[in-house]
Amino acid sequence: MAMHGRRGPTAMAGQRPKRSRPIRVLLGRMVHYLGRFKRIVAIGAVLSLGATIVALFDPLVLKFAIDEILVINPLIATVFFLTTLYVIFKVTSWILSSINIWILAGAQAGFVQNIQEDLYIKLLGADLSYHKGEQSGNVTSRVTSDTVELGTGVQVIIDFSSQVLMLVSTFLLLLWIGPSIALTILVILPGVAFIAILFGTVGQRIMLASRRASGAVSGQIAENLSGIHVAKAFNREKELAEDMMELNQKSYHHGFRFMILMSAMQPLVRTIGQLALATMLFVAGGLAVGTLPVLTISDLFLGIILINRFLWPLLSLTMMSTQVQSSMAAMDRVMDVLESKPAIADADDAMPLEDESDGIHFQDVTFEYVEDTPVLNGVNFSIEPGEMVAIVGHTGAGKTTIAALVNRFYDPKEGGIFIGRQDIRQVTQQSLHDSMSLIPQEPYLFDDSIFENIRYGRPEATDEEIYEICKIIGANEFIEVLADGYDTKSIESGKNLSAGQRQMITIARTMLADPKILILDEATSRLDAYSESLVQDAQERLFSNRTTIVIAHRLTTIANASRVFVFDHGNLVENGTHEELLALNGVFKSLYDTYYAHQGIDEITEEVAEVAKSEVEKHGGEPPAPSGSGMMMGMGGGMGAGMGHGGMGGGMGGMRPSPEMIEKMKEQYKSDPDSIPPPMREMFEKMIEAEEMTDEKKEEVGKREMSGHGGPIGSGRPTPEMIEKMKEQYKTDPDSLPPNAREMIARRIAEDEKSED
Amino acid sequence: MIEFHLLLILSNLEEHRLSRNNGGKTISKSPARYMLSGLARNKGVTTFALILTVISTLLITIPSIIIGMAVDELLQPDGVTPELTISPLFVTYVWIIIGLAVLYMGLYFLVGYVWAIVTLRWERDARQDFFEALQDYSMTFHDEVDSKRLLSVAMQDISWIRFSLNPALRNLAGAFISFGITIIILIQIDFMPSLQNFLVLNLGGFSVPIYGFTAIMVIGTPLYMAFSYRYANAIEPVRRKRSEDMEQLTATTQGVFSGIEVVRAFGKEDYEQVKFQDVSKTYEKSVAKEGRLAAFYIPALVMIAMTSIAFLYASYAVINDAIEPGTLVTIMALLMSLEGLNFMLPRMLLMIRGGYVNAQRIVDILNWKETLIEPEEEVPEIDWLGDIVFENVSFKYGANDNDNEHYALKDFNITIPGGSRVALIGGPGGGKSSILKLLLRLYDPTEGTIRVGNVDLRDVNTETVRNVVGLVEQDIFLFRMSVRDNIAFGRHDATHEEIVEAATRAQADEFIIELPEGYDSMIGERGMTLSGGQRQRLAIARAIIQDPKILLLDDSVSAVDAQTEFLMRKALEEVMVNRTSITVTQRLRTLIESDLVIIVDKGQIIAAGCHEDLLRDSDHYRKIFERLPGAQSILAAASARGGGA
Repeated sequence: MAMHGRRGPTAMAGQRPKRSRPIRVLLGRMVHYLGRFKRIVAIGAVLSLGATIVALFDPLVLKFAIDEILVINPLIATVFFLTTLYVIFKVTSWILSSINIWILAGAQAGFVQNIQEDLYIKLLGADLSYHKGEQSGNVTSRVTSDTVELGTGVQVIIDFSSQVLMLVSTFLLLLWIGPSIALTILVILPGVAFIAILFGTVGQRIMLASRRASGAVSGQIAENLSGIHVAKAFNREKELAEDMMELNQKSYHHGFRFMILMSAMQPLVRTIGQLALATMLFVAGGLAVGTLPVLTISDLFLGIILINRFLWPLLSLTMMSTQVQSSMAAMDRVMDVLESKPAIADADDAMPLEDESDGIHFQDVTFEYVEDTPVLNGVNFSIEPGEMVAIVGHTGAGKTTIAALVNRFYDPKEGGIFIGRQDIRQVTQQSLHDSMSLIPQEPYLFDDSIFENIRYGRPEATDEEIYEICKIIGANEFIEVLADGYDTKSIESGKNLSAGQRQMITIARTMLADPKILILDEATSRLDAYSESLVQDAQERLFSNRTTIVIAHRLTTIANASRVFVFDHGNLVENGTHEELLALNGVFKSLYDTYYAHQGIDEITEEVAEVAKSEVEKHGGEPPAPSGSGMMMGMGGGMGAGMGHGGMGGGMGGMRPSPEMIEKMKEQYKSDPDSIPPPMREMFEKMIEAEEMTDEKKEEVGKREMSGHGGPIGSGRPTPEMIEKMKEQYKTDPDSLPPNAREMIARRIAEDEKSED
Repeated sequence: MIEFHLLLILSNLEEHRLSRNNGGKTISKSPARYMLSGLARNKGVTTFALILTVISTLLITIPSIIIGMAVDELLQPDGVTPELTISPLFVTYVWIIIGLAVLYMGLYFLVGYVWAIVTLRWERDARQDFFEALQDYSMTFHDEVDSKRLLSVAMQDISWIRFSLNPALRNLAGAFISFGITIIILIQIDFMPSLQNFLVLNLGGFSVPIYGFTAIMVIGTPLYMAFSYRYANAIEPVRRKRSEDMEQLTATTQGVFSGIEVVRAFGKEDYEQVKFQDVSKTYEKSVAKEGRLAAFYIPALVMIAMTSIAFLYASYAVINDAIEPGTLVTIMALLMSLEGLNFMLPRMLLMIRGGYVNAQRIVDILNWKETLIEPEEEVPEIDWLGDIVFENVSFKYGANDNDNEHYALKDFNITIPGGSRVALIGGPGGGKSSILKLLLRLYDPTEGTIRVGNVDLRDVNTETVRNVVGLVEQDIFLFRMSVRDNIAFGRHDATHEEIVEAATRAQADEFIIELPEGYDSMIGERGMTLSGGQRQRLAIARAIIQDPKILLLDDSVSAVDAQTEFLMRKALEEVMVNRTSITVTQRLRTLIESDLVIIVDKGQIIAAGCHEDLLRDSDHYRKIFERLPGAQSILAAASARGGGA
């Protein structure tokens, strides 16, 4: 489940959106975009003014006509003339406002399209860290729902100004013709105020609750549909239906309260109108009976007509303010995107990557995703043109980061990355990406046919070339038996294909692209051994003398590489062929024992498992992480009402939020807890607590270290100082250290000695 | 009295709130009947609400007549007493207006209340029924239909239908009643004695009296309605196009931003930009088109004509003393309030039109033809531990009658001895998971039969099959529930002890108790995501507690560390005892330990047998081992043995 977008729950749930810019700036920006349609908007304004003025006078004409009828000797000709005038006025204002609507509709649509395109281009070029920090659903809603919201905002502002114009001018006219009628009309004000307050307070609350409840229903349906095969496999449809019934009933309950409120609206307004009418009759009756009638029957008539002209605009004005608020918030979010400057952009003097540039060189590369937590520390290596290098290491050692850096998805904090002799920061991104290809860990398919998905690697490829490549890697068989063969459409990012099939298609795509440099990030992890061997054969055949980086997860890959780089905590610690590294009996050997040795057919002994366990734990293991999927559900709460913009995005299994995203949200939580939906709030509270706790723990451990007692090593990474201390301790009394630490220290000491040699 | 009746009716409704007959399997209805099912089911209440609507509309119309009478009273020479006070009759008129207004408010609110109950209950039940219908459909359906679309139908389409009933249908009824009452009052005026012979047309000696107001209304109203309907009809396809364009825009954008890494890695930004521009320009056009439809709204012109002709005619009558000035005011007040419908009516018509389209979508889904048919009579007493036989099984995805010629399984024949351990291997799309799905009876074979203990699976209810066949799927799906509930998903009446035991046997207890809230830790929501190995062990616990006779395992997890692997093997060992197990696996160790290894490719069996035999006889099987370090010795040994044999 992908969340629907952060704006979803806040804007939809009717919470007052927090803005970071003053209204003046936001309005200015809106006007700026509208400015591209200057002429049209100006014409619209003139037309609208004209229509208002004309509409202002038509009831007056009728009033004069009634005056004419009631004189002693009425002339039908005069009445006929005035009625004709009335018709002319009415039709003129109808034509003027129609032209106005016609013109502005085009301008408004163009305005939205303009912003959409600007946003889209900006987002296409935005840093990958931005995309990782936001859910894709969220990014999409910037382009779709936010801009639509803006369009509505423009409409409302135009309506607003014409309504105000109408209201004020009618009132002034009334004041001029009959001040008493004008003042009498004001009796509706308390009524309107009452309604506005009622809807602003109780109404908002009820609406919020109702949207939440329907969001819960929507979330539950989404989840149950994703897990339908499990429900079926375990015969649990009935129970799930009962749960659904409960949520449905709750949503009904809240929806009912909301509708009752809405049902109260119309009778309230009309009753207020009737009461005003009665008041006016009273006043008119009192005034008309005087010896010098201040108020004539025609004045009364005018009053009756104008009550409605007052009542509804006033009410719609109070309703509009909510809409204006939310479109201002949308403008604010849109401006965040438009004003951002991507950190990764082509340099002014960027050159295309030269044909002869090949080989990858890292020079003192340091990189961090989050401030002060380096993922790579001064990494140096050279991969010669045509060489195939395997990268191994524990989870979090920085393997995937290397792949991302070579693609220049990020720039290193320090140091440089070179292809041949060209620094990739001085190379156009287009040429860089043209000459290298990455097969990422998680295969991604567009919701398009398999043909198009493969062709994405090289648009000009013929169908035959696609068949060819699929045959070579052994994908042809399974594609052919799909419902529509190569024309089968991937739906919901490939839910109709198995993970292995998705991976095969992405491999075919990359191989078709025929890059100079190939990077495989556990690209075959979901394939069975046999299919994997087919892919490897294909790779050997097609890419044998190209520069290749393989992030390895299986022994077979490592064995094929000309060199293996071993990463540990962001450092390149060992480097050599498979055999050399095994002989070294260092980090690689322990990695080998932990991850690769058991991929064969041997029995795993308890002992091996224990060693592996301590090894994994030393590296932080696989701690349960805050959930992706559930969080998305919680945040997608507002979906019910605002669905249709791909609410169910991501698809099955649930995505994990990236570390950047969690960091960002934590910050947001700290600064403004209310901006995060309640269920998540709790989670972040816990996370931050936990963080503080581990900080304390670290301090504690540190203290204990200082006092010289070899305390347990926390699950965190020991600091270099600690290691030094422990080395000392090990030398004097090995048994004082816990067993798993002992082993590590022993190894470190051995390493030290070796390097001293 | 009325209130009492209403309470009675409402409490009746309350009792029936769980009774549903407007969806589910029973439905094979037309969209219109689907839409109106909520109203049809509560005929009494609906009629009652309609009567109330008529009365309340009367209440809001009558004041226009009273104003006219009040005006006449003011103009009466004797309406003003010498003391210059207002006549008591006039005051009474004013109070009547106030009284009617208050009464109207109460009554109209009541109308709203009844409509809210009827329509919202319909919405709730329709959604529930729709959901249950979806759940009942076989996987063939779920493979075909995008769940995003199903979700939006369940949420939005049903809501839109409800909108079309309330407020649209309700307000439309109100509008018709307003028109009706106005027509009646105006005709009434036409037949006032003073107007009887006001205008007479002489046609060849016959004198035909002209009923002016009647004529205006009788000609004007149908014209007005016709133009309104035409407008709603014109806007409907435009609006549908617009929402389709929006869907397209969203899909395009979402696709690109979820796959931004791919877009970037292939340097396709320019290509995507052009693609987006096309889509957004299309969207712009349909938005502009829809906006423009609101311009030149013809019914407004009709109304202007009606008002001004009526005014002219009434003025002429006043001047000729045929009617009182008050009557003129009444007529104008009535017509002016109809003008208010100019904005409302087309919107309501549109909503009803739209609701019909939505109902069509839902009915289409509800009328989907199920291909998986439950047996009329179930075979009792089945030996689930008996042999599993695939006899000439061919299978293709999608409905049977589609023109897809590619079979996922083709002439598949094998006998799996009861209680044995079977390993299933083969490339992607070879047919491994199809075999598992067929055994769960998520689908039926297109041709041939699958028998367990000599009983055709088609003769067993899906519910029974799924009770005795357990599944640990490839991409483990866990629900947003506690760990406990997720395990108990295998058997809903499991006790805590049983859950802990299952978890322990699945090697999951160890990590569960480490979780912040142990067995009560929520998965998903504000909870945890677990690592692949942990999820898999939870799924194994879920299967253990179900205690199936046949266990299906899709174990294609990627490489894990030795500890996880070790635990996993122990868990699998545990779960396979006393049942027939069929495992899709990549674990070489599992292959060796299996009683039977089946290699499938292109939907057919390439080879089957135990590890030793296959190693000797199957090239394909040997290839799998070929690349492993140390494999040479195994292979050599096998071929030596093979050579010897």
